[in-house]
Amino acid sequence: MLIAWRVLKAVVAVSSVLSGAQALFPDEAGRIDWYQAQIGVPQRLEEHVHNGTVGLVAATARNVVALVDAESGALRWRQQLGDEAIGALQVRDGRVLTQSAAVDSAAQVRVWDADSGALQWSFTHAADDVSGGAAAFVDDSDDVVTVSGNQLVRVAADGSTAWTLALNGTGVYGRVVVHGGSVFAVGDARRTRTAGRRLHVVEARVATGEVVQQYDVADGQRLGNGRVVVAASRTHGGFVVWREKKNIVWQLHRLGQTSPLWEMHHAKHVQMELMPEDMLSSTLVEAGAADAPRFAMAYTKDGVAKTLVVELVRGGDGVEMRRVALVSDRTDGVAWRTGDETGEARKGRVAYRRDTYGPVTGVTVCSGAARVVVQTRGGLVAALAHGRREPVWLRDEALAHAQDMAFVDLPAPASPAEHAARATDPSVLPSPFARFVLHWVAWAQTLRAWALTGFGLRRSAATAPPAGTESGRLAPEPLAAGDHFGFSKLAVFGSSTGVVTAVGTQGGVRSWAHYVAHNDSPAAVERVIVTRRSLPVGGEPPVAVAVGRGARNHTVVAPLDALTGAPLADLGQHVMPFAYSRVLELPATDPESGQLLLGFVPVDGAPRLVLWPPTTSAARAFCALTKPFFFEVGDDVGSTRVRGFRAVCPDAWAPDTPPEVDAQPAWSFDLPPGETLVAAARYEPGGYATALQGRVLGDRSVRYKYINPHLMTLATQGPDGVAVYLIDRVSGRLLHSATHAAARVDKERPFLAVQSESRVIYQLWLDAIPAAAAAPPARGFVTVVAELFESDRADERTTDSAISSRDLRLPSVVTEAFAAPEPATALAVTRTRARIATRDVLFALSSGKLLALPDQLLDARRPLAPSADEKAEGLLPYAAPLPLDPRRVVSHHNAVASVRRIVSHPTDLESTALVAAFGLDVFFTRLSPSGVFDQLAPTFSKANLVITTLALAVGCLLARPMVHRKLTNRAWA
Amino acid sequence: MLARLLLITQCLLVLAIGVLGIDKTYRLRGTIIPNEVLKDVSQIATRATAIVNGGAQRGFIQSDGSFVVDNLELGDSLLEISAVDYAFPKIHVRISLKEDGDDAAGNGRASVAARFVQVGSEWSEDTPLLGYPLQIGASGKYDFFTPRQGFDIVAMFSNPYMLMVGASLVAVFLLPKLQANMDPEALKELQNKS
Repeated sequence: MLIAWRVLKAVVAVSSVLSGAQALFPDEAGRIDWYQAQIGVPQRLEEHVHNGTVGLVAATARNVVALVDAESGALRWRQQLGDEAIGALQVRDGRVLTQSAAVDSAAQVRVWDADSGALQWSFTHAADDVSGGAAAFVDDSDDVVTVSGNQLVRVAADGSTAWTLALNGTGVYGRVVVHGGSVFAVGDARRTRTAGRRLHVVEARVATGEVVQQYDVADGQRLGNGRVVVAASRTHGGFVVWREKKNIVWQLHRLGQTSPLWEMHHAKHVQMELMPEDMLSSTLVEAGAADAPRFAMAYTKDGVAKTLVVELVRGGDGVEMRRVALVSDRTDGVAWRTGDETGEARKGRVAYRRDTYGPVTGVTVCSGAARVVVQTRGGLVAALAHGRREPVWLRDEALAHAQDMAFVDLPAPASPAEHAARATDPSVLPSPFARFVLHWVAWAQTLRAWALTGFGLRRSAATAPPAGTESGRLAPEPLAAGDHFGFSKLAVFGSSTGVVTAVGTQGGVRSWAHYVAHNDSPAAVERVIVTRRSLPVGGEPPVAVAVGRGARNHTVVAPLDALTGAPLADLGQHVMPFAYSRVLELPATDPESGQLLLGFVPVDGAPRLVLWPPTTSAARAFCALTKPFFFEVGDDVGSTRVRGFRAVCPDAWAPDTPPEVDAQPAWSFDLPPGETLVAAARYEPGGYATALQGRVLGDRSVRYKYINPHLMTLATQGPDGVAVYLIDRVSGRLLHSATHAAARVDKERPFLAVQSESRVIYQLWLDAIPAAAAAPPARGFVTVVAELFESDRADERTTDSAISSRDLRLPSVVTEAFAAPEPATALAVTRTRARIATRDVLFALSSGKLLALPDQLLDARRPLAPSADEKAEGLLPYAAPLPLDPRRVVSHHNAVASVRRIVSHPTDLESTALVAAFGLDVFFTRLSPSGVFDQLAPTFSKANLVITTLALAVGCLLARPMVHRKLTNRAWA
Repeated sequence: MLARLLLITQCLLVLAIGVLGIDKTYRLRGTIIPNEVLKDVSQIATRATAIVNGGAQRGFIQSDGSFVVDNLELGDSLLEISAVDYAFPKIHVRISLKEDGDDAAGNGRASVAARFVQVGSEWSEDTPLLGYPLQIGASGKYDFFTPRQGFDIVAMFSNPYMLMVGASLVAVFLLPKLQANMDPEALKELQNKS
């Protein structure tokens, strides 16, 4: 009874906190936030036609199966397959067939409804051999033939197997073709001492699974090498097309045909312009399914990258090739035409810069050639149509592969008059009189613009494109200025496809994109760091540096103008001939370029720091630091030891070599035997800053916060569960540790941690949550809050200044655990300008919700039964579950999928923080954890103000004769 | 009491039939059933998944609401329906081997005992057992928004500032009228008192 009463009190108290929070109004959705539903870079695209509408079914590199409207590019549905890579995709008769498998896991065969995306049925292969994998529909049946490892299986729609054929280890099969009563499994033949590399084909009767024949074909080839492709269609069957190395002749083999075994066709059948040297560098890729087997060839001719789509048609006694489409990727645009030389051709040309999203790598021709969908290596997917100079739609799928992002401040907006003054005579701007005149000129212009729009009554008729798509221009729209509150910034994303994309925080419009390449390959961008934020008087733009891994795992550093995306003229793209393990933002600025210094820790060799910018002035600036600089290595997953180093500058710098700083061992933190590191967390930049050094208790005493900028959280998995260590990054000293028995960390249930001020918040999975002896142990995610204080007594400080890493006294730690409402994929804390406003703790839930809980709920000092002092302090009674209040779900109906990271950034108003969540999807919003105390409330009615003012004015006018009459009467009295 | 025992026995038998053993792992079947909260279950087929033990195992929802989750191990598990728009109860699933031995194929026969649980609460065994295959209905539809209040004349005039303005107007306009209508002698008496 007592417990029930306490729980009731806790619920009431929590409800009061939540109801006081600022909730989202319906008209704010889509206005202060934006959302882009992504699918990832398509690896396979198949056409789906139903009820006259054309869609594209995509299997993507983010393991997503999705249907995209071919007319608008809108996402109709998608299904995420987690970590299962999709190896096969086929669309037939309103059904979508996929075969996918996680690493070292059994292959999953699934059939989806193509219109709704709902699963129809599934089948799981045996897990004994997981190599290869492919599947195909059986003609005129709901059955599927699938191969994985050593077994070829026919599966019915109820999941039962009609037959199973053991393939006896003859090959690793990657394609299945069903045609004419036979099923063909095509794969890489097992290599023997006598036999070299080639493909192996097994033909079996589709009705019984009886082997008809098996043979080798395509000497020297293996699936996926770029010189062989298996093209198939329902009516024509399957073909193997390949080109031998250093040979310009395409060779063709019809599956199952043994007499004659080979058919050869030269490329001149389809492309007279090809020269032998063009052929030698060409690659063959699949190009979707159609009535006839299709494939594509990519080659370069005269510096123009071309993709030729051909299909195989019957001609005379043999098979001939017919050109379906030719797409030419030139330096200034993409030109395309469909049809062969004889038929009616459709064609078009769109302006496109290859340095934005990379070269064109894929072409899919929709039915009737009404649409040609091209995709680039960087992840742009665009639909082109006859006669259009701009794409019908485009999808920036590079964002689905975003690894990091950073906010870039935009300059405050200037009026057109001020712009004109800057352009013509900037010297007038310092004059107060000139600024006064410009102000009123701008005001008049604004008034005129307002009048032209019907005093704000006429609204723009433009309709927003579907989420994740853009209609219109391939070229992004640069955003030159922000707003007066700092709400409008650029969110710069770096993706593993090599593209750095800047998106405006107001509306989510693309501002610029830049493709980072190294040796003709995309450099997988892993970090985006803003190395110059401010806009000095001289007009130097802010700089965003993209750090990625290029060819041979070399480190690529690309500094970009953060407002335009253009590479910096004075500091070009820099390649370091080593793989880096960490990149550090150093506490120094290059005096020449005004940029923040970066330090790269190479993976191999003795620990050291390689400085960027690679100039002597930058190195001197770093070595002029008065405080020693420490860094640590070995905090990767799987490590058993974390080591700290102190940077030591050399006596002299070697000329013409990148400046390097030696490292002197400072400390070593060896994990206990049997434990390996599963996660590490540090403060986000500025995450330790606080406006309050202590917490004022109910009796007006103060408990001082332990705020150590060098605090680091390590989580390890061991035989006894998960251990959490808080260590100091300068001294390596252990500050606090905790062990969670029966806890487990794996890929599906990661350890998440965030450090904010004096708190460390982490979430982990417990297989057995302690319970009463009579009840079985519960399972679930637990959110743990550890709050660090300087002392366990009030009004006691360690020191008057900042915490020193050399101080031997340990913090006093208060911890509490809460039950998480749903699994989370990312954690973060809002960040405001001066840290005066309270904070919201952000949870990206696996269901797609972005939940913002006030940090009052995640207080480790919440008591079971608050005393009078604790009530006066504002502590809430403890309740184990964290509430999933829908009013605190800031992403509302948007399913923000697979969020990898949440980034918060302050605005110019203390009340408001910007929040971006990205992973597969991208979501952005503004949050005001303490309410919008420095802005007009959203409910403020300007109409009421105007009406009241007018009413007062009218009242004064009406009262004036009355008052006048009264005064006159009084004078006569 | 006897009826209850019979019901439990019958339930366990049904559970045993529904669970398939696949190489020491087991398959869990269930269905999201329509109710007053969620009338059309097909609409969440692409916006919800069934997850077990925090995502260690997953199952897709079919258009009729049914789902299967494979690779479950013996013991206790937590089943959740992860959806954006709807709340579903969480379920404690216990898979245990039956004592009457293996089936004809030599696989151990298992039974499922499932109960509703709440986050942060103990997994009590006093909670009633659920039938198998599981039938789960949505417990609520999330309302993410706070309705914005429109123009309300009553609310406007009940504002304290408006009440103060009203009182001032009364003092300015009505009190002199009252004063004028007062008996002169009473007025004089009042003025003398003040």
